[in-house]
Amino acid sequence: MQFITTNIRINRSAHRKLRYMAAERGRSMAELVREAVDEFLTGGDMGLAATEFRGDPIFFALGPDRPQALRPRDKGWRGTGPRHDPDRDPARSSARDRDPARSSARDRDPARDPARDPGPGARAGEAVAAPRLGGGLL
Amino acid sequence: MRVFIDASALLALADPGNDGHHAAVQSLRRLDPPPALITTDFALAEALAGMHARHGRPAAESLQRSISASRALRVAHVDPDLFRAAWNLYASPDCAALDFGDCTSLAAVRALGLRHAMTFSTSPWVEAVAGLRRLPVTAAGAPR
Repeated sequence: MQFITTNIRINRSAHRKLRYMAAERGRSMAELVREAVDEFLTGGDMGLAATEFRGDPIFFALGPDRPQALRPRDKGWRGTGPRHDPDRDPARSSARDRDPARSSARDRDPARDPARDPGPGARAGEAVAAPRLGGGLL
Repeated sequence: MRVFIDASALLALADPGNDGHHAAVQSLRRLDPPPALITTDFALAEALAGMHARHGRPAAESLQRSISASRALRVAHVDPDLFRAAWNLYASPDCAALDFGDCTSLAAVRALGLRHAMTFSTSPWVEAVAGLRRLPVTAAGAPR
């Protein structure tokens, strides 16, 4: 990795604290500054609360969990994960799949039928092959 | 704690229909304090392409919106130095089993000094980094 040298103006109090912390850790002030810059640039500590993290949009990009029966089949994309997930409850999902009466109200709602709901990204009149979209935070 | 998220893990996290979704989400939600998730623009491109190929353009757009709105995920850009590092890795006999996307992930993880990576790829790129721990792990603590 290549480095460049630059000057940074910081206030006296911050400089004093930085010098103290560097001495205490047996490291140079420059190392601590580089580390802090790296963390800032890569989101080292974003300080998200657990509830905020659990509700992050990245977990709901295609909507909330839905029964196995409605899931599209894997078409061979190499990054789709293992075929078997031991954490999932196979008994519950298979019972749901066998008995439509056990499906949730949301699943029975024709307005949310994946065949009818083109999802938020679709334009009027456009054929959409994607599964149901638009749950949760989108 | 910072966790590198590769393209396969992005797809698993984002898609409830993905076989790895439950394991991916649970393994991250179990971490306390919540981790910072790091990916690269290359992994992002691969994930968007994968989502488009599997579910179509609207799904890929939905993933894009989620990534834009996410506060948990940060995107590290593959700059010329990192690209050169990945390029050299790809040319190296040691990385013969890796594709170029894996090499960019490998170079990014090394450059950022990350200790944890989430992937569902069968590629051995995680094992190419000494001390890098693969997520999710099984209940017994062994890499899956």
